[in-house]
Amino acid sequence: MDFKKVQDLIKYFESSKLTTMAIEDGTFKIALSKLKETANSEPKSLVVNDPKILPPNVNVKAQNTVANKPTEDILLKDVTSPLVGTYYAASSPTSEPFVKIGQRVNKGQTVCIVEAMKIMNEIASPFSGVVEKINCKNGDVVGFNQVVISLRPQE
Amino acid sequence: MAEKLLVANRGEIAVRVIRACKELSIPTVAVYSTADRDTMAVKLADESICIGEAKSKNSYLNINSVISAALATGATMIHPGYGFLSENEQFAEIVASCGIKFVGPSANAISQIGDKASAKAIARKAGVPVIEGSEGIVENLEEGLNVAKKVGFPVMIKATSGGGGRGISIIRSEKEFRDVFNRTSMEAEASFGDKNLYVEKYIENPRHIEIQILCDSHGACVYLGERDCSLQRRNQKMVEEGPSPVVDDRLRKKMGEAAVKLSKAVGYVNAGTIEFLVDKNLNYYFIEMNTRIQVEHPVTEFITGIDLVKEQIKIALGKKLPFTQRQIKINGHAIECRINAEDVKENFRPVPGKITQLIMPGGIGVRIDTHIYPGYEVPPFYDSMIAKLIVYAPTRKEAIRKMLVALEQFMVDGITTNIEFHYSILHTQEFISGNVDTGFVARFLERIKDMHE
Amino acid sequence: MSDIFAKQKPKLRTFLKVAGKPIPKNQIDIPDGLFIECEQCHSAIYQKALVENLSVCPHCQFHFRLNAGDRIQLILDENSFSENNANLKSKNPLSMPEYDQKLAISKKSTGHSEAFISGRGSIQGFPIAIGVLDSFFMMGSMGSVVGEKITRLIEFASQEHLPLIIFSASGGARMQEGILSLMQMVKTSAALKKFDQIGGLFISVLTHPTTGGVAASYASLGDIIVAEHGALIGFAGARVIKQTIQQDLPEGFQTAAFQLKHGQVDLVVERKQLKQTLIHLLRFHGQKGEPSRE
Repeated sequence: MDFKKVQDLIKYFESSKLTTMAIEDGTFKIALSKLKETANSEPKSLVVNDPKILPPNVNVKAQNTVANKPTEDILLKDVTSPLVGTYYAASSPTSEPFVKIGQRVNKGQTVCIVEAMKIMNEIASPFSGVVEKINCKNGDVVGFNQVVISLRPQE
Repeated sequence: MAEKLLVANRGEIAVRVIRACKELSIPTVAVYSTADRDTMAVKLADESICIGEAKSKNSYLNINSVISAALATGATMIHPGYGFLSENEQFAEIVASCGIKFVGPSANAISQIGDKASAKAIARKAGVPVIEGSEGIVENLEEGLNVAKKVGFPVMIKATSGGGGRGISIIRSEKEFRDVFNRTSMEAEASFGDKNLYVEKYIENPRHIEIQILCDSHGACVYLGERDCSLQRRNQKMVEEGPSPVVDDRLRKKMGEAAVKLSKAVGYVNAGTIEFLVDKNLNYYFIEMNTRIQVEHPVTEFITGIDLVKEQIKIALGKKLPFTQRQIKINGHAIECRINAEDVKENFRPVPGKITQLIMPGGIGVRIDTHIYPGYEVPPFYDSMIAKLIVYAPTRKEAIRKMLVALEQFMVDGITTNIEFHYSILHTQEFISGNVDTGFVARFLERIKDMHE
Repeated sequence: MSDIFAKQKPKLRTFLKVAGKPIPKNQIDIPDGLFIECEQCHSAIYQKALVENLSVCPHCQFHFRLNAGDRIQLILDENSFSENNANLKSKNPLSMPEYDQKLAISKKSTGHSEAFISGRGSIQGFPIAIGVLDSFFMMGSMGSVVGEKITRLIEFASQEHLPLIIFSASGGARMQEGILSLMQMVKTSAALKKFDQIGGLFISVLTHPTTGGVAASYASLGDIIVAEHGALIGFAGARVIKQTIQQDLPEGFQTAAFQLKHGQVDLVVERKQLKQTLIHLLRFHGQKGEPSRE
């Protein structure tokens, strides 16, 4: 794919009603996402993953990513903690963890525990998908809105 | 267990506390709301943790979140700063029940003296002069009116759980009383969750003079001189200075000893401030005690040479006060100006926004307590104070001069501030001659109104 | 701009050999029971705050179950309660396995000899006959002793011409006493009929949960039936009903609000309003107590 085609792709995407689009073609990958700007954030930009097709004077690093996320991650959905506490991957020290990487999770399913004041709060995933990243380990401090698990969404 | 201190506050006071901890080699935890992710306290602290959404009640006022943050990070101490949960007795109680040291007095002391009506009763009992008025809260309008008639108009209706200058109404006649009483009660319910009011005589144009005290947990209690906070707008302080131009050594000793007596009566521990109203004849009347460190504490730090926040932390760690009353000396003169992100011409409306340029003054005796930096976005959710500018000089005259020079060199771009307003107030004949009272700012505003039309 | 803070620390140590001190990782252990988990919204409630709020969750208004002692303290004037028939004890008439052990455990944990506490007391000066089913004693289930105590209380109210208020919280009839438990449904209903015939006032207060044989007998026979906010009130369990009729159940099925809408209870009140509500009802029905405080 040449750069002109990438530009056309971007124009098409911008004018379309799509909010996210990802294309893989051999070693070439592109992910585009229209995300809302929030008060303290950098404006979101798109990322092109193959430096060979960019014009030489364009610095790939400078065109950097949505909140420092690599390409594929723009499409991931984060499960965040609604409270402050300590992360536990399982319901007890001897139990199996609630989820593993690669596991499919349904909307409403418990993915982890955040303990606050000795009360074990089960955190349910608001989306369905496949677990791609587990961002905390047992005993980690978890803040409000902190990402605990990232899922690749799937209906 | 190694000590670790969690600062349950934000803005400049969080930075202040963190600095004191660093000087004491105590690791720190900063808590922040989603709107305060980029605040300076978060950047300076050793650890930080988000505790909730922007609105104060979801974050800085959310007791569960703060406690959970302390437990999760293993904090052994909590410093509540001023405002927010600093005078919340249930918070102090929970902190203590969790085995965490609260940098402040006990829940019991807070509840006794924090309630204005009960504080007045304690003061009366300790032989501290109080303003005539109701003994505690008034049950209803009729009772309030009877008190008003007894002490004579003008009277003041105050919310017993109020603070920060809110929940206060001044009434000059019986008819006005009937109109205003219920309205003030409803406002109090909305702002503080407590509709109870008390009534007292209103002293026209008094000076507001407060005494700083420090008590350790071994029974020692000292006073550290006074601060004159008469420059207020709608009961919010703007400029504070110490010592007060009207207080001499004798009066200072009397007020200081009264303050200490009151503090001891409730078994007070840690830093506190006893507020007095002083009339034209230099009669002083106790109005309330603030059971926390105050915004204007740097004034006292300059004139006594004592680091109040460090002393707070040391007291919480069980240490004895390292000085006696005799050893405390008041030297020189200090003035503080509260720099706010507000538009004076638009009735002091707060103006959040991004600070694009920042140049701060310096030199001998020039101190700035702030959390702002170039590129910082002042959020709209909290009070508008962005910095405190404090100066110190051997005499009051030199201190005023120094403050004017410092204000000239304090430059902020990207947001509007009240720096020019401070500059003009400090040029007035009244301020320079030390002849101001709590009504002065309002009168000054009337005077300059025409200038901007 | 933010990076300048992150760069500072390592930069300072450019010529310094000393690394920073490690941040301590303490484990703070708080006493058990300092915070209570709300059964409904799962938020942490400070124990003292919960008590101050009458055992109601300050976030979602979930009404925690009260034991008999706390209920009596909440409703009655201080020191006005005197207990009747405290000496009645259950036996094991059908020789059910483990029934004796279960009784012993409940007696020990609640400090009561059975699940029903009865006697007389006053509410703001109004004398009443009062009974409370304690759901912490074998789920407040009604066996022979409970049935007998209820019946005697009704008869006591008749004799003394007192209005009768019974607070119920129960899983229903006590299985371990079989048909004898079911018989209590009849006995208590019959006693209430006689009470009604002499013009006695019976206010039945349904608290969470009131189900089974208790709901299907005396508890539903109040002249006025008051339910606490959020109480589960029904006969059979929701799951059993759903399986039997093979249909989804309506939204809010068996909640106090649902029962009010469907005419099964007369009033739903929040716990903090309960005492005042009972006082109003007593005054309205011509009882004599202290003058109104409003």
